[in-house]
Amino acid sequence: MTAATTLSELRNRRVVALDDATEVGEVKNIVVDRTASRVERVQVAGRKRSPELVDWDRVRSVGDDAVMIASADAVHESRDEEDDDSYVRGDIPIVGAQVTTTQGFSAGEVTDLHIDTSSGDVLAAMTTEGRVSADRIKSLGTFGLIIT
Amino acid sequence: MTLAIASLVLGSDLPGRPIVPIDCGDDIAEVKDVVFDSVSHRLIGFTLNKRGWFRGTLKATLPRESVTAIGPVAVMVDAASSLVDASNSAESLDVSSHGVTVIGTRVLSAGGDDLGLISDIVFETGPAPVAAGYQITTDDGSIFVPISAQLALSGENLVLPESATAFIRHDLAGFGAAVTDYRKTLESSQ
Repeated sequence: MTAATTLSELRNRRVVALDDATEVGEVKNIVVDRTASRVERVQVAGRKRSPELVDWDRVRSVGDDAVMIASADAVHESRDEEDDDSYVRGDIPIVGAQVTTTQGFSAGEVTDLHIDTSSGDVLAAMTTEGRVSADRIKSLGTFGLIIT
Repeated sequence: MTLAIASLVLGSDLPGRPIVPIDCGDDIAEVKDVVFDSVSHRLIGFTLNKRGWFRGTLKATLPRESVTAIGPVAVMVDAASSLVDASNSAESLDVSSHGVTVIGTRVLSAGGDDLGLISDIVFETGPAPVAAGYQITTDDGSIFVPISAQLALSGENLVLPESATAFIRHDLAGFGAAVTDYRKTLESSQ
């Protein structure tokens, strides 16, 4: 069974630890890998001033009302061993990112992402110029989303 | 994908255009200058600036062969490794040997008419782009002339061969088709 959701639906959803029922915060954003093919982390806005992160493999289920994570200690700050901080923290915006084709033409802006909640795979990007399926997505970086 | 009609861009529009690798989506550099061999009328590549407020010259350069596409919003390359470190002299663009600028050169027709001065270079926008023509500023506007191996260039003048005169255009939009047609006639005459 696959269940799909969108980034916009995930936003502001409560993040709750399974083991002790602590509410650690709410979803602020998601962090995808460089090829924008899967969700790597969930950015959580909690008690700390700067957003914290939960690795996708610590997410146990994505419900209609809450994102359940394994335990409250799954929430961490950015990882030191990562080479590119902006990716890790999710500082590269997804919604609002400009879309450029591999031919260097502008193709609108990202408005939302469709995500498979069990695998974390990115299924498609919604843009101001229509739906872009995952097989057309090449990468996401400081210049925005690159598509074929 | 082959385009029937060459898609074109003016060289003067390229400085400042971001360089974006398809595999990471970062704007890793921007075009500083176009490196052009005025003797063989060939695009060599691009020198680069860093992006951002404090941009300075990057040591790396971008050879023509590594360009995937020149688009209206970005110059696309396959990967960041497409850039070549200029300190590695074997691979870098030899900017100094192509220093003779073609801009400002007077263009004469084979019949001896003064057509005007070269004001810009027209490039194709596809993979491994090449120079397609020159923009010439005349007394009453500008015209576009196609580039071919037969173009003779001295330090002072460029002489447009008779075969090219039929393919002179007054706008860049129509010039793309003219360049394609001109190449066909050159190929069939060989």
